Amino acid sequence: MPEVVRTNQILFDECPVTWSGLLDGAERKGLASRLREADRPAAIVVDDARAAFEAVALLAGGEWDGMMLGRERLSPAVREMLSNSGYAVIDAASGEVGVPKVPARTVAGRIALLTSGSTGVPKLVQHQWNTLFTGRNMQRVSARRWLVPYQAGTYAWYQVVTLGLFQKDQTLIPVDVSDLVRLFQVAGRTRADSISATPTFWRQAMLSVPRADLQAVPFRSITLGGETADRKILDWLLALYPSAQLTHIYASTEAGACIVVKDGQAGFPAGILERNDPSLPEVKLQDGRLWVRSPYSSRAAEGRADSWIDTGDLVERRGDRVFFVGRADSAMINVGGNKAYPADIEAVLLAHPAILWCRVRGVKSPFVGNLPEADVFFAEGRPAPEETDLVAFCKGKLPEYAIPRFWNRLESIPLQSTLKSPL
Amino acid sequence: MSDTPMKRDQIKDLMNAILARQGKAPITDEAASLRDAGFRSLDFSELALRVERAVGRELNFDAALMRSISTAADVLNFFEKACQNA
Repeated sequence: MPEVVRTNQILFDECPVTWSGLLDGAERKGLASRLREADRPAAIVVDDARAAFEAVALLAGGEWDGMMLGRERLSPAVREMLSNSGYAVIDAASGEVGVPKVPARTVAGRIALLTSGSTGVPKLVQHQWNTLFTGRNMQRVSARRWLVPYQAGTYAWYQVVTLGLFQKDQTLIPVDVSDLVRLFQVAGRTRADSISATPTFWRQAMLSVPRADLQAVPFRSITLGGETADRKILDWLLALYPSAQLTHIYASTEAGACIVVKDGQAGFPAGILERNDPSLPEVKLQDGRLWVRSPYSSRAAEGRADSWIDTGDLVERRGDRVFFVGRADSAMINVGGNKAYPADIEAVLLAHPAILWCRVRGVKSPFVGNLPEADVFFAEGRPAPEETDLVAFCKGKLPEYAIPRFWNRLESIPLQSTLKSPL
Repeated sequence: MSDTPMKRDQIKDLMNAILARQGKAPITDEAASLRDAGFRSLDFSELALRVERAVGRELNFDAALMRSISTAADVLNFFEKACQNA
């Protein structure tokens, strides 16, 4: 189990607290006693960012078997699932301990997460700290100050938080994404230089934050994850932060971080399919789906690192790159026997100068099964195109059956707590 | 959405809007062949869904009648009938 760098700092409301300080806070609240009292895997339910970090300080600093969960995620279905999995639910605020329906043995150093639930009810995924800590093999990590916009407890959140926990000189700055103008002001004042967020987060920022305020933050490292990084958002970020290292990552709660792309291009180099280094995740294509085998996966946490995982993501090799074209369970639109992929259609739409965001899906239609429908959000300061213009733009770039037939103009970009747009 | 059956002119407006989105000329003569008008099978399917959305329910389409469609008038007759049967 990696060792916590107790002197690393976390900034709450711009005031620094060390992991040691957070651990003391957790002890003062009696959280360790509650974990001992539960004597089984435990889910610590928290109400705010500081409580989330205190719970993680405690879990990472000992040999506990547990998880941290924001109260907003504790739906009746999640509570039931935890109970059926043998997890005691500990309320960090009240100290109350809920006893689960079934007994379960603890596994030292295990840390559980919930999947985002974007494709259904969240699932419980169990890791070890060393599978969650994908930065463990990073050499010569320079001092960084990381903005942490992700929802506490998600896989993406842990990717940044484990850097703060286990790598020297990594400062974390949790931020509230409900006010992006303020978020970037805080980022500037706290001299944040690194951020990991979704493409949707950046599109929202592009809309609501003055360009000067965006550029005032001296980002050296920008990581995109959670959604496909398209050409448009990559170009926009490169133009805004020309000296930053722009990285996009393919990861999931179960498969772990698998693909890291640093060349500023969409998709990933096909060469990754051929790499053969047991310390790195392996990826392969099978029937158009992406499979991964990773030392950072939840399987590896169970001692089954050699087990391949079907990610359910559809990919297509085009020349020397591989592109994501959607989810196998929901993505393909069957238009009279022709396969249209939302990700491909979205990539074309996003190349239109007036389209800032879009989402494409199939709608059930008589005679051909399905037709593509697009939700679009137009950039401000430009005349909004007519549907005729959008169709004309798509012609020649998409087969006729893949050109959206229905267009919905949205007044805002939908943003979920995962910082992603809804599927 | 409405439960009121669509009138022929309303269906024709939808048909012409579909053609306009494709950058094609509107139907002025109902006797025009679909091939000449550039009204293709995907346009036909789109029109069916737009009609269903307008009337607020799924329609039962007459497959036998559909096979004989060749002109704009045939299309309008087809959807008029489907709306009446709904």
